[in-house]
Amino acid sequence: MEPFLLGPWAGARFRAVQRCALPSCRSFTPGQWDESFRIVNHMLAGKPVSVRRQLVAFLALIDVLAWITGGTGFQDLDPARQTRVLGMLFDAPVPILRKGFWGLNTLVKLSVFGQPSVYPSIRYVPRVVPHD
Amino acid sequence: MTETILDFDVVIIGSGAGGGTVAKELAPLVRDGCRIALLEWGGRFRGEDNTRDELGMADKYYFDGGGFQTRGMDLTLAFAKALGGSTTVYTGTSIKAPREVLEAWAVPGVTAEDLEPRFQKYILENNVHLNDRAELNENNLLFEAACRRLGWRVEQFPVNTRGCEGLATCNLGCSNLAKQGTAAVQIPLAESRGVEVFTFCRADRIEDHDVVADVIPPTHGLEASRLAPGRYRFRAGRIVLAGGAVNSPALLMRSFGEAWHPALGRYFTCHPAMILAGVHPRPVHGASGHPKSFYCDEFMRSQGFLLETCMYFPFTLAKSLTGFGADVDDLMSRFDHLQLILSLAIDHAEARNRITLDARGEPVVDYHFSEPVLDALVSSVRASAKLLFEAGAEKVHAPGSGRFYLHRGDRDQVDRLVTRSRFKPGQVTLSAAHLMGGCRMGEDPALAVTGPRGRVHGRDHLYVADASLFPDSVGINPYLTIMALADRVAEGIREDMGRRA
Repeated sequence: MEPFLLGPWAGARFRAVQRCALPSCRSFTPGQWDESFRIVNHMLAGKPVSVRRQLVAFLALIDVLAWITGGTGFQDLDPARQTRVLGMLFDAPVPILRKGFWGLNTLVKLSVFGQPSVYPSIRYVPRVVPHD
Repeated sequence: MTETILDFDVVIIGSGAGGGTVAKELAPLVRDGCRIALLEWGGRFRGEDNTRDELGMADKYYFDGGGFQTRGMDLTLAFAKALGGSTTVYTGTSIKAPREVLEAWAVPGVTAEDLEPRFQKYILENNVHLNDRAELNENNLLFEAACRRLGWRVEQFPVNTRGCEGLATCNLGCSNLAKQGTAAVQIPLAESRGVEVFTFCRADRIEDHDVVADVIPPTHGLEASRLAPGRYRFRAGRIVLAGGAVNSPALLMRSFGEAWHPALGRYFTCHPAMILAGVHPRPVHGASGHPKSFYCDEFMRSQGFLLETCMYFPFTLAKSLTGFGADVDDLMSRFDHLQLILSLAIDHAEARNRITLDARGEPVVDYHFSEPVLDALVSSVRASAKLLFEAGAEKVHAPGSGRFYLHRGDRDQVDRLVTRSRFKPGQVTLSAAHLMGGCRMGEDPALAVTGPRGRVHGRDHLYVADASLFPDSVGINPYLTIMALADRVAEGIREDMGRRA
């Protein structure tokens, strides 16, 4: 199994966000889950340490919000409550929170739609020519 | 660090629409004994290097893999490093700068009359033409037909392709090298006439008549530079900066300091853009065929935005969607039913929008969304939604409405539903690929970095020849204008050198 670059604590929370932010990934094969972490790891590896720390801090903030609103960590919330927590950040009145969520959400989208293995399921059919 | 000194008469930094054009225009001087170098940070791509793999190609071509963000983290800038610069990853659209834009720029000599023969030269040289209607895909034709039914002005994009196979992955490089950018036309001409091209060569700074540069090992399996990795000092009679609107100002700042010139790095514009999507009840098959065939400039003057057809790839599209959850999955799962529109706000030069350097000497871009730009973006969402419904979409992804989708029943309520108060930077994905300004041209050294022919004020041997020259945004896709301006700069250099081509 591909380890998460930022450690197992952040990896478990990132995976919970993936499942909530793009529910289609719940049907991922083990190979697709591995690939999703590999893609994110590759992206994070090229980013400054400060950006990685911000991501971990944002995942911690999500957990704090989960505890405040649901009395438990984000991973253990039911899907509807998870969606509410992410929605609070997505539509936050404070721009920095919206931007933080945008970054995390983009990372999730990268981890899912950056995989050519999902192309058939979304009916993305790139034109193929003989020299390809 | 050991430096190898190489002597040239002219060193050109950057090989995109500007640098590639200058290289070709100055190339005839080589036969008179003039030695010319063209330095390019990125590598030389062959057709087979363009694998069309979305993430892999973004990594190979784009700065920060296409994810270069402004300091405010609410705008992503796309610009490439490769032999040919960003002309390797555009769609080949080639439009002349409108007369009224040039008049508003008010740069002496930069007139429609002066530029027209230069436009014509590159229209011919780069095979700019209109694609046959039979080649246009439904994503494009739906846009055109809806514009006409709505009574909106719509034009077909002239494009510079030759032998296009309709792969629709232009922004990932062209795997059959159909785009006639500088890598396909001007640089091969320049090389055949003796211009020496050095890839994987990053200019660090300019010291008087020297360009201090690092040659780096090749990446991504691309062909290595003709120079061994290491530090070089390119000694030059004349130096031409053509690294683009982010890197040209940054290089001048690293060389002479951020405060060297009052206008340096300032007046950056970029046509902030968003992708809008409509879901049709039947397949549209936009992933095949040239992706960008039409534009609608109906609202350019009245509301400050332009609409264009477009087609992107799964992650790029997903990233551009405002939201998360099952709605995103729903839209993405209908990729072959999607009609996409790119809306671009026509922003105007402001001193606060600027390039600076971070502690490592790397460029940082500050971009503030003015109220007119935000209003233009909101208006562009409304217009796009109306266009997509008119084209037959059953639902439309419309940021700024507070919902993920507007449905057909909302069609008459678009103006009420999409509002400025619901349109929140930081939540909506905004990106830009038309990067302009930072070394603006003009006669007054207090307001402009270069003179009207691109010569840097106060430095007779130093020139700029790229989109950073633009004193304000050009309002349309900029590449043909960059080439025409670079042609003027090259002409000025020849005159300064006392020679004519």
